[in-house]
Amino acid sequence: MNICNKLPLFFYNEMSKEDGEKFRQHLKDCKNCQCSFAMLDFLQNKQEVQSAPLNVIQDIFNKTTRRRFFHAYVKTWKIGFAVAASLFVGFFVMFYSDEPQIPDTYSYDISPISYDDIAQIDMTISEIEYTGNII
Amino acid sequence: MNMKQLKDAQLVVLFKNGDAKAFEELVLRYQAHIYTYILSLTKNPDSASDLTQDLFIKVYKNLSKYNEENKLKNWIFTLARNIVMDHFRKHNKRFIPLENTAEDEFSIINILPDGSPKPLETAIENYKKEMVNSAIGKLSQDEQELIHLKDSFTFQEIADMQKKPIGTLLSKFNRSLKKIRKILSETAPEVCDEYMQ
Ligand SMILES: [Zn+2]
Repeated sequence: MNICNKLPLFFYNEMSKEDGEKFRQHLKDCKNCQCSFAMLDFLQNKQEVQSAPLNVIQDIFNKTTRRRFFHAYVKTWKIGFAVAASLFVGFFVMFYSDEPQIPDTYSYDISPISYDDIAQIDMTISEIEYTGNII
Repeated sequence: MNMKQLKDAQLVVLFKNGDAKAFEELVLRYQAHIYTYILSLTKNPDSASDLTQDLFIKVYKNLSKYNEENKLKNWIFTLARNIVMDHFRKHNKRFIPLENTAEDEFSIINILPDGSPKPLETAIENYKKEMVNSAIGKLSQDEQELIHLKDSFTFQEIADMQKKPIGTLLSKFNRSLKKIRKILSETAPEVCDEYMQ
């Protein structure tokens, strides 16, 4: 890197002590760097860091750390009470309901059946077909 | 506990442990540099205010997931840059030129905000600042950004943040200085003479 290019590092004190010393020697003889150094010095005093308007900062706080959520308006014990009541009612409905349980359609009875039982069923069906009467 | 004495990383830890004041300290610590940086890119105080607000809300929402506490400043500025670029994209803008103050007919009275009498030194000082800022406003967007980032970062930090070699940044910075010098010599030679004395 061209040594003149390092002037900003020297100006902002971002050089090692050793490099800084070398650059100081260079600065004594280099008109170009002297000119840029003066320019930087001038610029630094003329640039300003501007604070954000106060209402902007206030709005940031209001929308973040000082934001009031719904639960901030309701006392915690009220929420706890409501949750406990809901759970109690839920369990009560689940265990004491008279509604018939829906059978599991994927499970069916596979208990063994004898040949005699099958013959009996066949005979009953034949009789229905022959007489047309349901016994 | 005096939050002002804490480092960024310590504030982040406090925030993660539920201390909202730690976030507020971070806002107060960075708001001016961020606002100035965003203003330098947008050239519009209203947009800069809105975007500064959007930025800190985004920081607040994401800070608990952020793990590189030592690079917090870089992260905040990178977010700021992304927010501004999104803003430009939404409004189909790449760069908004600075108001053409340098080429307007200029009178020292114009820079006195309320026309009230001020000491001459203050007026002259304001004039010089105006000229310098106007010259900076004539640089390319990248060059302006670098000049403004330099207020808050070392060259090494900017190089890390932008993933560019430090030599490239130094060249750009020196080029910007030369441009500013040239612009000032044309628009305000008396300002130029002053710093060369
Ligand atoms: Zn040199």
